[in-house]
Amino acid sequence: MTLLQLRDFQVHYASRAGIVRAVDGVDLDVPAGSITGLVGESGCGKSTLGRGLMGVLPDAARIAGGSAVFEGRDLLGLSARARRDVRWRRMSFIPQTAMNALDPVLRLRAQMLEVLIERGGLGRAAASARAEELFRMVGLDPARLADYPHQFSGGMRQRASIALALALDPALVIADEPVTALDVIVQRQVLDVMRDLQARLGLAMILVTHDMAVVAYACDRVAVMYAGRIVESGLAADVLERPRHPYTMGLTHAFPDVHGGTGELVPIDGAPPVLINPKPGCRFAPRCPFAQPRCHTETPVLEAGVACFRAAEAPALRAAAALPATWGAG
Amino acid sequence: MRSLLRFLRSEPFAVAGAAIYAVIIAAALLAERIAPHSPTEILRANRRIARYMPASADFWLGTTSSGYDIASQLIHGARTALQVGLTAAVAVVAIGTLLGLLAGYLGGWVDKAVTRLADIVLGLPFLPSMLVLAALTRPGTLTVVCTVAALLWPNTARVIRSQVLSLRERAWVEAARVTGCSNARIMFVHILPQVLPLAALYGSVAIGWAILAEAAASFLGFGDPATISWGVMLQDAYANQALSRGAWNWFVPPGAAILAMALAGFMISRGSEKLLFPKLGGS
Amino acid sequence: MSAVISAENLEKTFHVGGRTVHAVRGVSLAVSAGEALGIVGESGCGKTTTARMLLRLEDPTAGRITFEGTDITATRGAALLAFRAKAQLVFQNPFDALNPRFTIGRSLAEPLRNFGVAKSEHEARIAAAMARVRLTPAADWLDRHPHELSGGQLQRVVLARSLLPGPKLIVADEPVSMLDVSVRAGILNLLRAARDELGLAAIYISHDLALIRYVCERTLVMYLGRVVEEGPTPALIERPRHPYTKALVAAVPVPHVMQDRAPLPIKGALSDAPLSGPGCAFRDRCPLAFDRCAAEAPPLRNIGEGRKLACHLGDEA
Repeated sequence: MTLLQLRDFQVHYASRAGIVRAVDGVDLDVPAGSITGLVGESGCGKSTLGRGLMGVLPDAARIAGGSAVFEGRDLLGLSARARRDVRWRRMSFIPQTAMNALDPVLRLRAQMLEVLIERGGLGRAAASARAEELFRMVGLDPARLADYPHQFSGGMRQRASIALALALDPALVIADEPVTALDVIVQRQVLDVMRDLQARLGLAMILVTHDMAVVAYACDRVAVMYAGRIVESGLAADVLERPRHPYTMGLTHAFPDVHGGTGELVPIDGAPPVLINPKPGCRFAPRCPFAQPRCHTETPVLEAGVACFRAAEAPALRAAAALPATWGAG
Repeated sequence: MRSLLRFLRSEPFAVAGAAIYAVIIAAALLAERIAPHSPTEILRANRRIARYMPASADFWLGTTSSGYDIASQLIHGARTALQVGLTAAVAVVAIGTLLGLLAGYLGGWVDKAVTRLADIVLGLPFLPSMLVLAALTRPGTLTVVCTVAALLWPNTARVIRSQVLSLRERAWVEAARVTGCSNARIMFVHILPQVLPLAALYGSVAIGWAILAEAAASFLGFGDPATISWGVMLQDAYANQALSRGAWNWFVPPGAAILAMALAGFMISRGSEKLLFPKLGGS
Repeated sequence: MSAVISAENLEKTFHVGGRTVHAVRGVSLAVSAGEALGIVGESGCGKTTTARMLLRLEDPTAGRITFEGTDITATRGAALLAFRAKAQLVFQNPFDALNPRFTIGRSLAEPLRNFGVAKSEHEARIAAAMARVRLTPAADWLDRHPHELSGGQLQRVVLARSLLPGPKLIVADEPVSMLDVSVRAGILNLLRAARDELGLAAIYISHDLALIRYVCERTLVMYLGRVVEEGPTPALIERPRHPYTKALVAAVPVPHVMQDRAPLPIKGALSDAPLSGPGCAFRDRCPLAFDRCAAEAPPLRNIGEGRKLACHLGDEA
């Protein structure tokens, strides 16, 4: 069952130089009970997409079009009040820096109770019990509810912000680079908590990240974003092991593998385009070693999980993409 | 340029302050051309010394008890005001920035010494200390400038110090060390240009204080009677009982000028504060 | 002595608000020309402090640093300047590593000027350094300011600056962690090429074992200020001996769907009141700790194949 369905979803930023099409026509299906990795480099629009869904965009940004059907209702068609209600009860957000979710001057118990009582409508005793249950769920000692956020380590804060996000039993959790700022052992522990809770509670989760390895570890599905659009999406097993878009192929060779399996790393030369009045054509074409004349004039649409005119040649392109010379590295 | 315009529109205080400065600077530069008379010439009317003349086409603001043209004195007084204000500002900025930079970057005993000295000076009451200093030295604008500088540097030094403390942690300062820069080079070539705008802000505050100090010193008789300044004008008016004679035209204009110029300095600094620290203000 | 830089028993103690923090406790290491050494560990393990002491940006509380056969532990003045020219640093955050008011050209001229290179040579040497980091032609870049460049370009400039004085040692502290994924490989490849072609000694500081695997032959694992394991990188990663190294390796996600997702062989979190007194500092998190671990601290000792280990369990193995 599809929990969230985005069609032609658009988020625009107003800037001095003009309108930045940060998210420019995204189609994405998030099934219930899955973890979807939203991956791409900085500026590709992945965080903006997540924040747009949660209604936590900065002032200069606004949702400019498309639809976002969540549990059968188009969020963009709802009244502001109804939309806020959905976002508070059925969706929740885990920011990269846990300190952004936590109030530094309040004890964690007070913060948990505020959410559970004010938004969740629980009684005081029930809320208190729920807060302790939530802390246990994320692997924190309920006694630590009496602490302030600054008494927690980075990993514990992130666990606390996960507990806060799960307080009202949301159907969808959007996590924006939740483990990027953490050390590798803590990162793994937090990812395990998220995976475990997702499976136990049957949530759907969107995990925004730049790290292919994090996607491989934690996600069932993946959507690769480039310059405001989804260029490839599908099951993580398919996309990571048999990428069909040249950008995804490039990303898989840009990361070192701790077991040395990647061989020579290959950078993707060039930089993503500026998204003010973007040119027609495939946005990756200027950096793509496989671009043809058509790629610069016509825009490929996302079909069967990939937006590339040469998707049918994917196996041959994959073989070529594995060679550093293909990407112009000498 | 466009952003400057937008800034000016959003900061009416700064615009007003800048406008006042523009008028005063114009008066100072063009004093000879604008002023109808020489400020030191005893004027005559109908063969008699023109005492206490009311405002007229010839004497725009009337004359003093000694027959000087008030408007001309006011216009020429702008020069002294600017001189005192600007030199004091430069001195405050120079001393404050230097000490703040040394204290912030070198730390240790230098920091302790500067901080302690600043605390002591900040504890001194401004006007009485200035009068004591003026009484001990010879009266004149130089004394005023020196006293203002000696008493106002700690504010600048404090903010520069804290600014330097945060800049010192930046990677590019460490990079300067790794690439062989001496401490002096790091302080004066790398860090100084970053803190100068902030120092200038505190300088503009010092302009206002210097004007007030000069006026107060002159009014109390510690100024240089030979110079033409707004403070000396006020003192002259007071000594000749202009108030009881109802000679408003004599003491109001210099008083208003002093107030306007001091205010202008504060208004500009308020406006530029928002420009320098946009996070503090709402804009 | 073929080592470019070596350190013996480095110690660093900070006093923070009345508390004493032992950031580094008895670290010894040596790096020879053309060799790359990785120092890995979680934040707070003392890896960055160790690197800063090696570069004389921080004075060691105890221990000795030798550079090209000379003791430089306390050197000052002209001798320190001469050392600075030969030991350079590549910064973690390229967006902060260049003076924002200086043009790229001026930033690059700084080391040349400070290390007394004749002005007539500046242009040619800057052009050569820019060519090495593939920012060509140099003239296109020198008049720009840092804010006009992308992170990857900035890091290339930072690398060029560090190569300009003709160093013998390059220390890179998390050199790509702030960069976009698509440009990381480019920077790592440039660093590797510079080390190979110029025969530099290199030290990489990172929490990322995958990065260390890609660029370092030898790796040193630090935990709470101590070296707990050291050895050739592939052996250390494929056959870790210290329980902490095992957890560290197991925690690194790999970019493949098929991977080990077993629970980590480690307990608790780093900040859970680090232990003091005798005994192994890792014993409270170690799943294999036994009586002896609380009684005496395991010394770092050779276990063959160029490896060192500080764990009592190594005895049985």
